[in-house]
Amino acid sequence: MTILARKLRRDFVAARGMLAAVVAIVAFGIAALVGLQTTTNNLTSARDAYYAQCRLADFWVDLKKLPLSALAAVQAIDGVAELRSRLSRPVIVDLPGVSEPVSGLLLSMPATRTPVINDLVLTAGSWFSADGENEVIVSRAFADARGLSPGDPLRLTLDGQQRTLRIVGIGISAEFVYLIPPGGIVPDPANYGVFYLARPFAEDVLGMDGAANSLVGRLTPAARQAPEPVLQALAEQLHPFGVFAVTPLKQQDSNLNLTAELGGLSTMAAMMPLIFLSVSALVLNVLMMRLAAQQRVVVGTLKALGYDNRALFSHFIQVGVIVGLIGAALGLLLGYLLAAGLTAFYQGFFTFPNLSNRLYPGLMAAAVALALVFAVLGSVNGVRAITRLDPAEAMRPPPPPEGGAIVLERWTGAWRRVGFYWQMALRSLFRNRVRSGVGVVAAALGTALLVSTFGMLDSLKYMVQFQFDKVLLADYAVSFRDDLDAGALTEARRLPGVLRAEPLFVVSATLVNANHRHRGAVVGVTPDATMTLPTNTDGSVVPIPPQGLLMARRLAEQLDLAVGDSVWLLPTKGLQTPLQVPVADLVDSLFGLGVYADYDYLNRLIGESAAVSAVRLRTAQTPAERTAFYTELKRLPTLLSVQDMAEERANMWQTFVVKMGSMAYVMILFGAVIFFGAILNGALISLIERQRELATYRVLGYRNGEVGAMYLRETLVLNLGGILLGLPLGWWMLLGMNAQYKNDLYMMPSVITPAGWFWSIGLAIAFVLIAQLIVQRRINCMHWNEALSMKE
Amino acid sequence: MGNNATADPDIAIRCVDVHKTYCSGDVETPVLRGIDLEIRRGELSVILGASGAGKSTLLNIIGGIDRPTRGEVWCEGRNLAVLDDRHLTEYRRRSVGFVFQFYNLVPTLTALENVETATQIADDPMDPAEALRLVGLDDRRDHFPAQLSGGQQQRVSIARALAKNPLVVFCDEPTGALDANTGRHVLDLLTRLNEQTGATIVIVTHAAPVAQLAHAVLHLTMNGITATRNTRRACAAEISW
Repeated sequence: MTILARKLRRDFVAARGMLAAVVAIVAFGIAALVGLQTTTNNLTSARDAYYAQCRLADFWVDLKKLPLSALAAVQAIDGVAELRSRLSRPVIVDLPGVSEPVSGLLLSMPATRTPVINDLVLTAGSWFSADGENEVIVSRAFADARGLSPGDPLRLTLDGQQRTLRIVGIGISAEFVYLIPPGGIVPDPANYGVFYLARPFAEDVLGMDGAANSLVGRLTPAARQAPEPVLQALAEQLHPFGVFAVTPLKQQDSNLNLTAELGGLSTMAAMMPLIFLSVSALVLNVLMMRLAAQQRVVVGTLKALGYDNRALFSHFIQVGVIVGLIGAALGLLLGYLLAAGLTAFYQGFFTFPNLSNRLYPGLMAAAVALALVFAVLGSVNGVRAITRLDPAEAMRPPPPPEGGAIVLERWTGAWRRVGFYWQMALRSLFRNRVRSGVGVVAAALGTALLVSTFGMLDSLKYMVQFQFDKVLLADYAVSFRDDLDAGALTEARRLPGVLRAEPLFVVSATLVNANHRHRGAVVGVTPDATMTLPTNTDGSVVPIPPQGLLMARRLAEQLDLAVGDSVWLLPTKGLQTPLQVPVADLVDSLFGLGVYADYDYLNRLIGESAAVSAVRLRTAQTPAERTAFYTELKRLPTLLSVQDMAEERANMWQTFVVKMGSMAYVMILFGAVIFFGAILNGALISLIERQRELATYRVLGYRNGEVGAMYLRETLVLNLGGILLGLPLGWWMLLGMNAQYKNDLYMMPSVITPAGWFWSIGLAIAFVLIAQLIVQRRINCMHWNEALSMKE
Repeated sequence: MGNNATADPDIAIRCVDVHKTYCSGDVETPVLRGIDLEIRRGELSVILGASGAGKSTLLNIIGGIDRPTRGEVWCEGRNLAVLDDRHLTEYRRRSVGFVFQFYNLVPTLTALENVETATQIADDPMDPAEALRLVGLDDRRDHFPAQLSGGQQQRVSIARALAKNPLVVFCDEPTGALDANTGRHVLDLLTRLNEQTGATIVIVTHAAPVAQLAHAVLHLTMNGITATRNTRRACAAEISW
């Protein structure tokens, strides 16, 4: 080991407290990068492998009934590479000991195992026997949630008929990585599953011999680049068979959610490390400038001894390199653990056959390189200051520090009034502008991280509360498979414990404006409705216009529509003739891209009268009434689903708030490190620089507490300034993060409650005070008589 | 004068008409005005002058730490006044040892390691332990500067300067920070080392009695420099200041 290396090692040990803070900041930045990016990679590669394994479709077509003879013409459409027809039907599941009807989706699969589009991966049991009669394969999440395994019986209500099937297999499919029940936002594995039947058996029980009502297909590589014209052609070709929806992969629910989550992760993987590494570079810069000042004479002496600039440059830059390397090494380890945790966390969200945490050497190398770049960038200023010193000048004592009046002193009156101690604190802050600046920036970024994290939690809570307290005010939402007449409403009102029932008329339709299209639904709501209230994000209810459509603002933007414009409505019900309908009003809704119309108006438009697709119920039930209520519902042949809103709410709270909350605490920990590390570092550096000054105060008879209080003033000014700046910055970060999660399913509102602000500011101040405690302890332990006799 | 300025093999360093002026804004402060001097090989020379006479400036110039504004400084066939930074560093590395008034030891290195800072970059260094033994500190080799007295620190500084086997050892007020007794010990050490190792030593000081130790004395004043030689040299124990 050369003598300089030995010196370096000892310098490092001497400054270990301060360097450890920088190392921690680097480590957390690298951990954020490695953890988030590894998770993104894990998810992406699991997704790609899974999609390929299951031969996931590029498009989905839902229609009324397509004779298989018409399939060849569809197959011939230019751009369609491969097509599979299947049967699909909503089902109600009757589980022993469970009073409420559980719903699900029934899909047909080939009776014999062949690789098909949207294939299944069996995780237990086997495929169907020869004819597959009375056999079912159940989706894994549902089977797990309900404790089902191969061999168990399962009772399904199919077209009003109850059938007891035998579970032969448990499987998963890339089609349902994220399975959301219709009308839901989050998965509900216990109450919604997918059930696969062998095709011949399915045709038989559904009365669909030689026909299909679902198409899944793959596009040619060229068509995949621009699928819209092909899908357009498909819709036109299939129009006579009653197309409900043509959905490209990009808009498929499961894929949409997965993509949004990956997008959010990537944004965080880019943003968080950048914040951390920038702060670490800034803090390192201050530290190295300090080292430059401290080692002035040593540098001059070494130069006088004949050490050249290159040797000294590489000697001092090694401080940065070592900080970068140690930080990177710790960060890699921490990041890998973080990725393991996050990947496990996502395993609870998404269903994959093999989602595991892996090592990405390329990513790790890039992370180390990034850590080194930032560490060297942070050090280079200080090192240059060191090597620029002329030996003769370096060995002379440094010029006394700048002692002139600071800017604030121009306001003489105000300046005099702040008092002596505050004057000292302000002067010190203004004279060390770089250090003060770094302190303010670090405090601002730390606060911003806290604010955006608490904001994220608040936003999620708000979203759930908003939806269930302001929009979905029913106790139950009951949907029917086919439209019923007004009698259904009367019947619903008679169900046990029902206080009020309101009808909804839902029309699947395509909305067209010029070359913009959207396939969705129009919901007809009665004017006196109290349980379906289109509500703006600010909480104000938007009344249903008597004529025309009330449209979600995001949808209007997508379709390039404004209030007063007309839009073409291509309904899949009634006469199915294209209609031109005015957009009467817009609503800033959080969930979905909803379109509403007056109940009677929509009925008239479609050529129906008092058609009921769903009812919303308000109830006051005893447990006995509740059981009776469910029993009667289950008897309804046309029942599609029943949503218990209280359960929905609990499920959503669990998914969004509790699960996301655990991630938020990790973020808060990250915020704490950056905050605390930077503050402590700044405080310790300034303590060392002013050791002699502080010792002088002690000699003059100041008590330790009084000396600490001088310090506290500076710390407070610096960090309160940073905290104030961090508040809007955090809000802005929250807006950016939430924008990432915006998709067709929901929009994250950006909300920070007073409690959120309180916790952010409170924690920030707590960090400041804890750092101050450490400083005070150092002051108490300072050998001030030695500090006084020190040469430097 | 060209290269024959150092043609005499007995001359280690020769200055010809050296000027140094410090500029600070519009104010020019001349410090050295036309200095001519010769340092002879193997001798102990003392440059004597009052505060502000430019002693340290002159030492920095002949030590290759600073450059004259005008004039020539010859050493081993090279004019230091025209050397660039890289060559000046090279000169300090090969030819010069320094002893500073405040010792300038690296606080995080032990006595032995401080000596090694010099030996690691020299062409033909002494064994660092031997250098410490020469200054009588072989039992303190593992002590850090903070654990040594001022006199001991200065002896480490001297060992560091000598260990390179340099052409010249420059000592800038080597007793300036020491009490008289310790100072005398340090001076005695320098005299003995000069005699034992034949090292060329230049001591810069404001303390006139120190001049009695030297072979040659250079009196630096505002008006220039005058050289005298001692016919009889005192030993360190005899002098006081």
